[in-house]
Amino acid sequence: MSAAAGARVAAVVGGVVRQAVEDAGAAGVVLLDDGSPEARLAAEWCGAALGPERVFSVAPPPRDAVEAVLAAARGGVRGAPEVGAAELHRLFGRLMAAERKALLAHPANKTALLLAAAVPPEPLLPLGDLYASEVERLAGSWSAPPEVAALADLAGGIDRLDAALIEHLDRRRPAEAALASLPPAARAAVLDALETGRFARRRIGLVPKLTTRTLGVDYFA
Amino acid sequence: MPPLRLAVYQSTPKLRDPEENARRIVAAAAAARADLLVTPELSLTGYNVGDDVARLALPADVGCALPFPGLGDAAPTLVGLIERGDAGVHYNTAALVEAGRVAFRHRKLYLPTYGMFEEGRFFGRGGDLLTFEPAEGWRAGVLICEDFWHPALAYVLAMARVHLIVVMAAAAGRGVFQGGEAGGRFASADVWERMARVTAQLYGVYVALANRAGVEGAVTFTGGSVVVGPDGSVLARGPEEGEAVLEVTLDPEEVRRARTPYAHLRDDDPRLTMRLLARLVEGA
Repeated sequence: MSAAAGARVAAVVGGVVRQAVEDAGAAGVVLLDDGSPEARLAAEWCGAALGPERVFSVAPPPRDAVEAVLAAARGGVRGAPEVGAAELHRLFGRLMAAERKALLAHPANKTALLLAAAVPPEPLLPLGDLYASEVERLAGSWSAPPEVAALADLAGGIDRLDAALIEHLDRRRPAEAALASLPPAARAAVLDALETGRFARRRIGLVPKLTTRTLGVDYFA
Repeated sequence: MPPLRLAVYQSTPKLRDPEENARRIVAAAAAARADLLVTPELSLTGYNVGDDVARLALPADVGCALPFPGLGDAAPTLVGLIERGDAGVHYNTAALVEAGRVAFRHRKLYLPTYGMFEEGRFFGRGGDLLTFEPAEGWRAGVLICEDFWHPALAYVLAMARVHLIVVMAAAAGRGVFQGGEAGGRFASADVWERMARVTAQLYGVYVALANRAGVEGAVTFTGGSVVVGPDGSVLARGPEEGEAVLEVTLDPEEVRRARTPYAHLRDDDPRLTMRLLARLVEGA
């Protein structure tokens, strides 16, 4: 990816974020910062568009705080599962967004949005039209929920997985043909993942449009 | 036949704010000193107005006065507006405004209603394709965005002997990694420019593509307005982001030169085309 392409993508994403903040009459953006390369990239681009003072990153709460809260909620039952930590992180983000009159943003990439079991409910998804492999080229690495990372392994790497997704989505080849380059087990798992989340993906936050089929804009599968 | 001073205002309309957008257009016209100022599709209202179509619609019959002070005073100005039609049907319309009044009108013929586009839900479809005279001896026609993707319309304008085809567009950016030689340009912007150049060269006409910039919702409009000479060369190009005014003096001699020694336009046979189409359409 050329430097010009990277700069242009940053400008387009920043422009959409700036307009969304203006349209909402918001003070800025609260970003759920999970420490991922996506979160760093989103923070950088939102900061460039709005000014860093208008981007508020919320880190996941400390493990012991999560356990304490969950234990209290469950009447003393110990052992907080990962989903509990993620939900608590989300709750902290909502509280901060409400307090600061800001838009809540999630840094998920497109590969994760397409294939993960759950779709983030946040109203702004600044990297939602960038595949994980594109994030890797821009930020040096990528991240996704465990089930998507497992799919990438099964496919023979994130580049192969994304290439097949691009073939299907952006070049509009039928799924079976587009995914033919993947090992059979990966192909079946990807088809299953695409099918499983298709209703959830119809109601999704604002995704800056970069490609020919963008979630929430013109991706209707 | 004198040269035509053309200005293309690549604007970033403020959604649902026609008064503010008109003020900006009036200012651009005053600064440009042109014989004709061209603006993008729906330049008075912004593109994705949704259910506000009826509230923002205005009468735009020829002779109608528009409620925007100064519009069309400094130069005849092509604006994009929502036209209030009969029986509750509204149109995506280009209006040539001279001294505050509509002097010419084109209703968009092809309303994209697929993928990200919903125009068929909100607008009625135009039914005619006329030309106007922007200056002594000059003949021009207008196409609105999707109209340009139907090359029969450019052909009809060429058969009407236009010297200039104006394309008023609100073209959304798609394929950010595929466009431009060095990357960093939407592929869709490349396509629009290619279409403008091919059309100009095929028919030996000037093509002025006024495409808007800015953002609405998730969509980034690609700017990149161009004025193309009748030989297909790009005479002026707007930036991919932000507002700009392109000023180009169009020379009728260039039109003549582009059509000589080539004789494609002279030799074109619309009766042959009609016969062939009639056979396809009606089995005649």
